[in-house]
Amino acid sequence: MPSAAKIARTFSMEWSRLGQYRADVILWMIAETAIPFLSLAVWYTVALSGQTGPTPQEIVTYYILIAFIKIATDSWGGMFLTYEILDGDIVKDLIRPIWPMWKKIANNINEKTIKLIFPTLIGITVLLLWPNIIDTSLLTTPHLLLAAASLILAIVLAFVLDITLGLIAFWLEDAFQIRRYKFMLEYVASGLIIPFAVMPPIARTLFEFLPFRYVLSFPAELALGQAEGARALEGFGIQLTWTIGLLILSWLMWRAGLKRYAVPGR
Amino acid sequence: MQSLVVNTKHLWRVWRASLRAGLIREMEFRGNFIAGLIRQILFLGIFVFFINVIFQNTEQLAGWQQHEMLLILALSRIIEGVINLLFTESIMRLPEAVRDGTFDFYLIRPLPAQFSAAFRRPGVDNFGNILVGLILFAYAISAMTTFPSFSSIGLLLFLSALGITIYYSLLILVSSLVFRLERLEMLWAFNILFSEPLTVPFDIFSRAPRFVLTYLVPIAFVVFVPAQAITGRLQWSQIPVAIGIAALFLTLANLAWRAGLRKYSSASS
Repeated sequence: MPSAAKIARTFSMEWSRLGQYRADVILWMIAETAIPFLSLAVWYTVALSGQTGPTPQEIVTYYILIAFIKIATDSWGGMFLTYEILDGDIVKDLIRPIWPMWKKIANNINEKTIKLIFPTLIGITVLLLWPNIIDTSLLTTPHLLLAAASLILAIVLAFVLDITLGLIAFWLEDAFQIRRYKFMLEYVASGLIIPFAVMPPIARTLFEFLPFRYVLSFPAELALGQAEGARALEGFGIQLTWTIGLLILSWLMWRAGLKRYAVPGR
Repeated sequence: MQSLVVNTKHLWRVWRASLRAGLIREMEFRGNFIAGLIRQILFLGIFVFFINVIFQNTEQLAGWQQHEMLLILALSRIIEGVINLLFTESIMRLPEAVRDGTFDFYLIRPLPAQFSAAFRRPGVDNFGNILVGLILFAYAISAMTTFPSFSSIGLLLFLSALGITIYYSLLILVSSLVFRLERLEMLWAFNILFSEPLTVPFDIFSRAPRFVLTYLVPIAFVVFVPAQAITGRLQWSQIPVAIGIAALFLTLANLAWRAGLRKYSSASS
């Protein structure tokens, strides 16, 4: 077990590194909110036609929450892990006196701290300038507390899922293609381009068993009171099962991967 | 004029050789290539599903019918496919080339450095996007009540070429920053910002974002304006505007590139 000082030092080093990439961080943050805000434009237009489904206010509230959750749960460490495994760079981290994943965790948490400023400011601005555009009556304290608990689990789940996919590089050279499939599934099965509130029943049932909903849509559904009582409990159960399952799987993959790993020449 | 033709022929031969090399490279990892093609088909399927769900909740989206939305989607797949086949991947690798010094090789080749930087590595796996886009395009056209005239198809092709030129110019403009900044990892983020809105009709945006996306970052001309042409929504005044914007952004991109090149200092020397 590494000492708290080593972990703190890792966080401090990653924070310094972040300073070098500040322009990149800001632009990535804007890019990450592009899809939620595009989807907002589409579904807001649909809601204005007023035929079925959520109201325009519900759609705006949902997508502002989604933009925030998307940045909070975003994870990229697995992609870099794939690179590091494939080109042998991971060796540099393996010889350090701290578990390499601490570096990924520190990088993830530090970067998100900065990235979350943007959607938070948008949320506050929208609330101040157009208070009626958001349905604040839905955001009750019990809903928000449940959403916060789910968001913490979602952050862990997203990180572990990302790292698990990154670890595939120990066995497979085409690990990036699998990431692209994950990216594609995230689009549709997480509530990003289609809110679960308007999803056809068959697709909804299918996607409820995949992990992607619990990374993005589920905390927002809890905040809006769309998942209450037994549905909320069921959601938490699936979210926790995926998180623990992937934690165990990634740990086993890390150990098994290291045993068979042969570093490409450097 | 004759030298321009000779130069163009020369560049065309070089690009064909790059394409052939790219195909050979992809065929070395055939499983990955096929997985990529399947992913492109599935991705299109997801967007068709997305449009289907939209139209389960409404009869039209900002005046666009379901088959017209499919047409926009098909055009976005085809045009993005062509864009990615031609230059995206090469331009995205530019920061790496500048950082590790391999950009020096682009400067000493008997080719324009911008051509080497932008067209060196065709994204051959994008043939799948183009193919599925063409199939969907044929389906969406067949669902239209009146078949588009030859003039509107010609206009579609012309405006698409202008749109691709605008997209190329935008990427060259932002990638030229690499000569001034020490690193430009954010180039991919720019590409995401430019490409994500291509699948939707810009009529869904309010006035301010629409103005920005039409004149300041003119990605409206990449897919949306060609889609307007094929669906009979185009106002004739938009054609000279499209030509003017393409010419303006291509000029700006080349000026930014040349100014950037003057700032370039080799990382390997």
